[in-house]
Amino acid sequence: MNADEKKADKNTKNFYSAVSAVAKYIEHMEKKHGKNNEEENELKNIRKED
Amino acid sequence: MRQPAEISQTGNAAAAVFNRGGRTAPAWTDGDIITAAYTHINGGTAVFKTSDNARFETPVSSVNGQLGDTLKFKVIKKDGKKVTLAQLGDAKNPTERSGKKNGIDPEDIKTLIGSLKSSTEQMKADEEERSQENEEDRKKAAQAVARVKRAQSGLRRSASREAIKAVAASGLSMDKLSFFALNRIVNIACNANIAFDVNEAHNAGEAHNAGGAHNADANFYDENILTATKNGSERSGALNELPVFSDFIFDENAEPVNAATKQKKLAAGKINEDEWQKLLPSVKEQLMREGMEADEKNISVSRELIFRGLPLTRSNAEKFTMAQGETAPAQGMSRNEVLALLFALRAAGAEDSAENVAHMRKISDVLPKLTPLTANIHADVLSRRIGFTAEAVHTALQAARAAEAYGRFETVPDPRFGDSFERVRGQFTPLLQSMGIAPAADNLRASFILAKNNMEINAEQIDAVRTVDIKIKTIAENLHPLLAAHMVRDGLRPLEMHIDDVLAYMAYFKKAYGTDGGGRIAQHVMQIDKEINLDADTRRAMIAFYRLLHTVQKNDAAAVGRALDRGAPLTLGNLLEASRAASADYYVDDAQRTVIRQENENSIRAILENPLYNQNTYHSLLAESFAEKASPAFLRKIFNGGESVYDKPLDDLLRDSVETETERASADDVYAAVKLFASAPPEIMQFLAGRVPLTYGAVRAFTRAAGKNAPLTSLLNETDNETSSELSALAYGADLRPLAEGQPLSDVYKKMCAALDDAAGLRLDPETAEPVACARDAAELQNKLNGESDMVVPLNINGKICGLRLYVLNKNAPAEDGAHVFLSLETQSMGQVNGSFTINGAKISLTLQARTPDALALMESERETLLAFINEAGLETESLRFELSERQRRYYA
Repeated sequence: MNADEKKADKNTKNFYSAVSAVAKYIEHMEKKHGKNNEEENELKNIRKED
Repeated sequence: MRQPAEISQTGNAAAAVFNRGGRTAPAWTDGDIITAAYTHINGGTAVFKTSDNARFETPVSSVNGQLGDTLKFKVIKKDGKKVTLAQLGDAKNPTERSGKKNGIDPEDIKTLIGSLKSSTEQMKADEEERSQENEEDRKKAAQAVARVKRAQSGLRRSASREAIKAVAASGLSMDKLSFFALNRIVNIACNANIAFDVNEAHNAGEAHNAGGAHNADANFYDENILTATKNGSERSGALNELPVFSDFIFDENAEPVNAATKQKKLAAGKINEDEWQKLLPSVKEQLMREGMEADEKNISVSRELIFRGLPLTRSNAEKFTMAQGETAPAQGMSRNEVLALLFALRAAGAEDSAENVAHMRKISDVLPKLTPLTANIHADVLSRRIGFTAEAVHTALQAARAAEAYGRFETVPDPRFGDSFERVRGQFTPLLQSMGIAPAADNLRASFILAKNNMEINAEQIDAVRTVDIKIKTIAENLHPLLAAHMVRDGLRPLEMHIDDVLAYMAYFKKAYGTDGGGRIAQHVMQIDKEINLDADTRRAMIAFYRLLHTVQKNDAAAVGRALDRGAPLTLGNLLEASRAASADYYVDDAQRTVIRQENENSIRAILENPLYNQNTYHSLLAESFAEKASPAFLRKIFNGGESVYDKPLDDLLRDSVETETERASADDVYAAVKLFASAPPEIMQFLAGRVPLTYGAVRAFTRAAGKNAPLTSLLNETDNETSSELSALAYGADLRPLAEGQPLSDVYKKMCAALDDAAGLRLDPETAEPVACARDAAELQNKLNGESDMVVPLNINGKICGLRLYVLNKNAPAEDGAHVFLSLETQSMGQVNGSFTINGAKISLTLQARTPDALALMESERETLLAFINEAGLETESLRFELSERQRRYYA
């Protein structure tokens, strides 16, 4: 592996790191602030029954 | 940059040796025998590649062998990085040819390049002979340079760069013929499903393409073509870009082939001024009927035509313009032609893939050029010098026309050469009479052709010439787009087939599909008559109806055009009226020198040339669909229901005639698409054609954006979901890159709008190239958004899997340049989240966009969390911004 290839490889790793950081943030936000899916499903079921 | 390891000269080989990337010297020692493939020629330099991927170059003249050969070299001396090679033996070494792959024989391409080169050289020599003043030469050279610069700066696609490079490297002159040649090669390549794109070559993963520097330098040679072929066949259907050659092959600023001819032509044709003034109004009227502008140029052409006693038709005018040394279609295909192709493909049920469109383009490009034939063609065909295919005939015609400065072999009278049918008739009439052959015009023409080719004139030969003539003309005139589209759908290549086979297919088509939908109605009427007892009135009404459809259809779009021309609503009643008028055409009577009415030939070509065609197409397509879809049940319904079919708008009638829901839905799709293509502003079509695949989505998005004549930013504020998502996609496309560079969004929108504004009458020059490229990127991205993103990262959010869509903006850049990424996700807590990040090394610049101030506040409240995640991932935050999306920013402002 030459220097350039090493650099490219490192960049690919960084790319995935960045994506995972953003993904973690979004997951975190959704868990903390998003509506619970189960609750929502329950609501839907209630509406259906109505 | 590649650096030569050494340059030395020994015997017949002066070699500059390169290794991959020029970093290490090949592990050769003195006396080693190296086998190297002669891969391509770069300028005057032959390029070799060895099995261990070393490359070296040497002047072509020093090579004993041909392109594609595998040659042996001996290492004479290796001293550190310096290697001296000498070629061993001769070219008769066992040569390995790559062989035929995917329909392209490298030999064919070589032969083609060779023959085009020699014909170009011939032309160049002729031109040199003709040109007397040095100044003119200099001017030409300057123009050529300017043209190439324009093309280079304007056309960002690699294909065009490759064409220019290939032309330059092959030593061809920078003229139309060279680009025509290259275009031909590209067309051939398209047939083999090759995408001409350096990136495609890059993807092939061949050692040859390794390394960004060399990749960007990829050449348009056998090796690349074959690599791309291989690649193309592996990625079936991967051809997603059309070559954009047509844009500059037909550059209207290009130097006329023969300016001297033009001068001569213009000087000729004197006509009595008074007589001309009297004639002028009717000439203008006729020009308009032919869909030509009554401008100075066309009027002068008309004058020439009339002076020569030729009918004043569009095609004659174009031929005449061509003879004057100008290329008739100034900017490749007209919008109408592009539309016609798409319609035809849809109508034939063929996929309107880029590949099929390319085939259709090629067909429609070649067919009109098959007539008028030059006299050499018949002889060439009869003596089997050329294959009897449209393509071969076309090539031979091109060669004859280019080499002979159009007209020398021309069989229509040409005063420049003192030819006239009268004179010819004088010579040949007694001859034919003596052989017992009637001196009819076609026999005279045939014998004239025979005489020109020094062939014996007898009844048999005359018949043979006439047959060739008729066959080629039949193809040129009757292979209409719909038929061609059917052939393309069936995987046939009409241009490359034997003309007899094409004719056989045409006959089959006629039999299988019928020539008119009216036939079906007739069948229905008969069927109904059989099934139930129709009363006399209903039967008469039905027959009248059938006749009406038949009449309207027989005239095809002409009737529709006429009805539209008069501003009449499009009902069958009006169409019937119009079709009566449409069956007449006008021509200039040579004896009376006036414009008179004549029965219409009604060829599809004539209809295609009609400027109203794009509107007509929509309506005539509707009329056709109607005739096809009208089922017995429907017919019964309309007659039993006593509805007046005559005054009902065609669209309504059509919708009524479709019976099932599914059919209706698919019919609606077709109408919507047809309507859209027909109504899209010309500048949008012009702008899109050749740049992005002409998909329904792309045309719709651009049409809407342009039609609203409003800044994209305000369009984004619209609540209409569909429109806004399309336009967001457009906007994202444009703003992605600059966004990643931290530019404010509003600037990007401005750029987009400017690009759309500039699209009208677009000519790519350095000033417009950039915004246009920007808009094109947008359109490409929009396409991509319709399809797939580059990457979807699945996130598990509260037990539900959501896809975080990622679009890598600079994926064609070398990996070491880092990444510019756009991301998009629909969340519960923050609504739609978009963003972009740039990552270079371990440094990340991230911007996240929220749709509402609430979501923005929420995002910002967790700023530290995000920073922590970034840290955790081992990255360094260069910048982190949260912002309101542009549309919301305006809304809340």
